[in-house]
Amino acid sequence: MFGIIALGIVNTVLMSVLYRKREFGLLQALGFTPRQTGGLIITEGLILTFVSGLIGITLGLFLTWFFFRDGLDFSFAWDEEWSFSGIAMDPVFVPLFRTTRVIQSLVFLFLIGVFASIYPAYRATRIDVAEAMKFER
Amino acid sequence: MNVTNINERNTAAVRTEEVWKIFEQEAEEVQAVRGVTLVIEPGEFVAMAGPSGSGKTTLLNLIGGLTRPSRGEIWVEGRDIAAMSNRELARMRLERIGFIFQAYNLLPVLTALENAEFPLLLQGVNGGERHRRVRELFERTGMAGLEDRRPGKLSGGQQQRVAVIRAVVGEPALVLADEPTANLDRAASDALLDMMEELNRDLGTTFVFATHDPRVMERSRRLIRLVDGAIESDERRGSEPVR
Repeated sequence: MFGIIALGIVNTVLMSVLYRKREFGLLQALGFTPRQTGGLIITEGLILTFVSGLIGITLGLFLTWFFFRDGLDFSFAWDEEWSFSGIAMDPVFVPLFRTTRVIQSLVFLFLIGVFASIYPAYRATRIDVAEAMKFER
Repeated sequence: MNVTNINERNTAAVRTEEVWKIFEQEAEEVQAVRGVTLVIEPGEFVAMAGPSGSGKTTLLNLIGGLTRPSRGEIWVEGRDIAAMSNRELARMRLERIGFIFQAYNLLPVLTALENAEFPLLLQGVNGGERHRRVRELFERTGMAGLEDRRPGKLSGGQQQRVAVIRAVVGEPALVLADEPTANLDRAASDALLDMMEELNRDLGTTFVFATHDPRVMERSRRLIRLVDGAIESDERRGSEPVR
């Protein structure tokens, strides 16, 4: 799951670097060091993951509260007596909220944001400024 | 090496010695700049002219440290830029060199004022001082009132004026302009050249153009013609460099 998220972020950030090659070339022509350019991209990756993580968690909490606060009722499919391999299954599934889980997700997202931006940032530090600033008709 | 050479190196805005730039392109190599030796004094208003492929843009990029020479030496204000690290080069570009590009290259999300003050922001100049210096240049160049517009709401000529202000606002020793008038009509080109001449005269900033625009060549006080990456002619006319 986290691997898929990381790939998505690498793709988004890398595309934005390649698409904005001229902009990063310009920043370096104006006096940005390659390291500052890389730092800018990692910061962008972090903001991207942090904001999308916050939106995702808020939306998730809201949807869970709104639809499932009374539990997900499967009593139409089985009754309270039903058991599977000796384990009794309650027909009402109740979502369990744990703050630690939310914090864990945010920390994971933060780490993914940093790691997924490293390669695009490295690519941006290797931009040939003269080539990036070439006038294209 | 004699004493005169050492002095020239230390006092010249730019000095190149036997500079070559060779690009490897697939199987063949392209010699974009072939053994260029030249001295540009502080306060000069120089045009490097030549047809496309003559090496003028590459030479400009070499002087600005955007690309490194294959052979030869380049000094900017007495400092050997071939020996500088990428970090030192970036610092030199920030503090001593201003760039103007054909396609203006303003950042579209920033206003004219924010674009113009950008180098000062990178230099760590405080907000009040940044605004004061940028507004003074907007005033001086007839751009007052356009500070809050974004590039999309400015004409080509106005965008290039903002790019010129951005290039000179950090008070660099040298402004390198690559075909600055190529996208402008006659009136806008003349106005832009007036502005750059005035800044050259009043601030003493050295301007070096790569151009094939006859108007820029006419108004430059020194014309270096390049053919196939080498200097074909180098003529000075008019007044001495502004000091």
